[in-house]
Amino acid sequence: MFSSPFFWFLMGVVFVLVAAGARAWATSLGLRMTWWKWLLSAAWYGLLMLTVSMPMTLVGENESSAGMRVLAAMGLVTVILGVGLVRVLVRGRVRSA
Amino acid sequence: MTNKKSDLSRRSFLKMGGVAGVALQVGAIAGAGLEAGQDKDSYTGWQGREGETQFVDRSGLEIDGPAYEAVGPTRRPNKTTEYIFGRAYMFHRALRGGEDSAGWNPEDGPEALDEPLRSFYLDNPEALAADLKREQEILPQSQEHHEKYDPFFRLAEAWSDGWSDIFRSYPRRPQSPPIESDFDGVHEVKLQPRSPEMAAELIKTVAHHYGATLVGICKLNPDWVYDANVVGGSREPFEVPEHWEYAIAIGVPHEWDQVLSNPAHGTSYDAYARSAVASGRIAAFLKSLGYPARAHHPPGTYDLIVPPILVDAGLGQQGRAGFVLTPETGANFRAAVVTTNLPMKVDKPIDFGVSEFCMHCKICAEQCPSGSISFADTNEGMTTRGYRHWEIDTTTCFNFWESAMGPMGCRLCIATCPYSRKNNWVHDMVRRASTADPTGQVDKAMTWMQKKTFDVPDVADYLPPPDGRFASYRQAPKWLDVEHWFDIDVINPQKGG
Amino acid sequence: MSAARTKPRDRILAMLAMATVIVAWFLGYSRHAADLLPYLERALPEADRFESLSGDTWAGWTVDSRLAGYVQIGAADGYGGPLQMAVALDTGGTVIGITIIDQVETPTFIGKVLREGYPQALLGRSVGDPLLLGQDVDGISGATYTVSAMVENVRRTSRDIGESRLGLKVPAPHPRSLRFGWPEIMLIAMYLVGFLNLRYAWPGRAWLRWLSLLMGLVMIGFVLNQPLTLAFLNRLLLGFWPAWQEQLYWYLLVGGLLLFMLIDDRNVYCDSICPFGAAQECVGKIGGARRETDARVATRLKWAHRVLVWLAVVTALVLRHPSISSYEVFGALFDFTGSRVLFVLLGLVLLTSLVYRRPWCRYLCPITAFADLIRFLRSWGRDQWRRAR
Repeated sequence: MFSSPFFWFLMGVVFVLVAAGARAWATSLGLRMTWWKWLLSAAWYGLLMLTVSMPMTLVGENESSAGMRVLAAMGLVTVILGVGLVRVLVRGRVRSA
Repeated sequence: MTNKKSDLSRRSFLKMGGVAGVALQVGAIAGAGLEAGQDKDSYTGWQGREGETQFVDRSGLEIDGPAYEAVGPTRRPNKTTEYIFGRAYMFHRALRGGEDSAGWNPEDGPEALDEPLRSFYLDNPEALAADLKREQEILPQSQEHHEKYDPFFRLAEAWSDGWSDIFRSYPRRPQSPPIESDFDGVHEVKLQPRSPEMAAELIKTVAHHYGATLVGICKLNPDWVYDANVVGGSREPFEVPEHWEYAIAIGVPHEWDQVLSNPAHGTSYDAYARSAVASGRIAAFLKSLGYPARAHHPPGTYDLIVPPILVDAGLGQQGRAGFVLTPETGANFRAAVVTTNLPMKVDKPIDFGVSEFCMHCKICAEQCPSGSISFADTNEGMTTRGYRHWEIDTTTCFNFWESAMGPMGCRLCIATCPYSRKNNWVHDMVRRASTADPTGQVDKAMTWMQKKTFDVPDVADYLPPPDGRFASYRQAPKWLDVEHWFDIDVINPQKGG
Repeated sequence: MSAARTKPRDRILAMLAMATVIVAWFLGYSRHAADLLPYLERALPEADRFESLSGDTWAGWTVDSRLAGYVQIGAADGYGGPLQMAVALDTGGTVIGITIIDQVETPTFIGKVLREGYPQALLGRSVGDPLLLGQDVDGISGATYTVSAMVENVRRTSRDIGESRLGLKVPAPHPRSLRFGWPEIMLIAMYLVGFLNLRYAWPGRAWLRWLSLLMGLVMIGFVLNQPLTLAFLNRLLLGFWPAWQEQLYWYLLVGGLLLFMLIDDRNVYCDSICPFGAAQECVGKIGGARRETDARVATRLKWAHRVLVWLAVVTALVLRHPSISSYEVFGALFDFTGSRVLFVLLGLVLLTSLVYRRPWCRYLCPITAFADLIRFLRSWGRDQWRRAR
């Protein structure tokens, strides 16, 4: 199922929804978004996807112990960088009601 | 006011949708990753016959000139003493004796043996000690283990028997010397190819149809041909036939799930049968085009040694464990060769970083249960018949095979080699990065990750009880697990039975 | 309570801690000596009783008080780690007994080596033999390090006994090559620069400290994976001092810490070099970590911290095993090696570092507890000095 073109088409559509949602959140939280902040957010999102897909591929290959270790390591890095990203995004935001 | 309200409600919808979208994407990507890992198309060599199995573009990897060094006078190999199976068989017969002669008594020393064993053992006393140990200790002990544990491996043996059955009748073993049998059945009207390039392209296309996963073509270096005892001929030395001009090198990887269950449940016969059959078919095809051809294939119909031909034909590079690694299948590659004189464009040898990688990886050496693979950083000093290349101790290696259970052989070096991977996006990415990086840092990082994140059994566990428990590298697939399908009583050595 | 009021209590606790560590050392020593007896007997069966001559050498006496020979216990580095053996010599300087006490070699290889007749194949060698692999000793293919460790044990032991106990002439030892390369140079530079940077305020001070920390993170952490650990402190306390020529790095590491703490009360290692400290500070920068926790909580945690470290040291001394009580998470970060528990702890520490500054250093690290003790003793010493003057 996951390798069919239709699946990826659907993923593209959902990604547009995610992007639109991100913009809505940015406005709602009063974030001062610039082009490079968007870029960083997209890069982090890519890292999140990689963190999920690579270990799962290893698990699918029947190497679950390796997969879990890679997940733990990449997951920790992703969380830490995620916190950093939030701090960068939130800097100088307009606190509104 | 209404505009702002609808703005806000649209925004809330988008916010919730965005969060739901992220959850959906994370879940979907996880599923996609899992499926990619299990994908049947990633089983290189087992997914199709239209040439898609040879997916690495070798044009960027080619090098000029031979990929090995001749560091001294070269000579052709000897099938009796330098070929472990030849020697093991001969030694076994010498010990048992015949109807009219008593067997050789070890206490008489190697001087009492006939040639060529006599000279060989006088020069290589450790080989004599190891061969003797095999006959006197390992084989009898293995007999006991077989009686106890064979039921546990019954399904694996059956799967292997299904593959090896074809060898009873195909390919037909030559019954006469090459000058006769290679021409036997050749079409009287020889077809002239428009160019050597086209001839090579045609051969490669049909070779894939006939079952070969990878194909390469080279000129045959006579140093790779055994010096005597040609198949179909006498035991005498023979000249390399003139019509053995080109070598078509092919091969097939083992089925990927079974190769990881080595040494206990794996077998060599799946890849052997497919390679041998493909080579037979190619030979028949060539004869039908009007050209003499001979197939040299597993399990034992060889007039030449195959690995250096694979290197000449640009299929891969030699690794630490002695065999050739290909970029598509790593160490998992069992090969055959067809000799002919059809003029074809030859391939160049390739370099995709194996020599440098093997210098520091050493995983095969660490996992070899018999310790037959060297730990030296380079193969400096390892010279055989004038050529410098990685060597292993084939005698101790073979001794372990004889002590192991399940279908004959061990194949752990194949299973544990980091290059032996199915073709999914993760390994594809790593392979590309590794080949593209000239500094070798990617290789070092990948080896480090391999050793740190992938579990391996303790080396001793592969040994027979009581030292070990006939462990497998990875668990056998369901279709080799006899207890899963059948109502049977087994003693499972892997669970301390 | 202010520091002044707690001083007497703290001093008593410090003395108690050090006294108990000394007691633990002796406990460990006597336990170990008893443990070793079976191996001594196996190496020198003729002996009826053993007289300890030094930390690692015994004289074996027969029932009728005749000197049967000497036994020495030593360890040499094999493939997987130290290979400990007991080697016995007779009074003529011939090796008459060898037994393996402990080894961490790969099972197949030690099995192969044993089956090939080692180390017993070295029996009958004498003090004057070169005992070098490839020269008068055959190796075993694939097990070079293991055999080499056995040979080194026999060589060292026979020469030491031969020279110091039997008064025999021994071949000149292979000169110990001094290992002095970029790690050692880098360490010296980092300590000097770090010290000067901390001592003298200048505009680029913070920047230079960060540079030093990052260097420590990459070089000492990821490249070398050799930060200062409890195991090394335990080794020093136990007396397992490695040869300084080969392990100069460790002496520089600990020496640098002690030197600058004693002369100027500055902990250059923790402040500007420690790779794990650097890792925590990096994460802290990302997460915007605050400086301190609540003071009372901090005090309680600080004492819990000290008790933890004290327990770890005492355990290692009693069991005479430097790394048995090691709980550091450094290996998990810098080499991806460690038990599942350590990995979980690493994750928790790094996540906490997002919010609090250097939590490992403050509440868990054995080195900071050790440094605190040094600092305390130093100021106590200064007080006494001032009072005396």
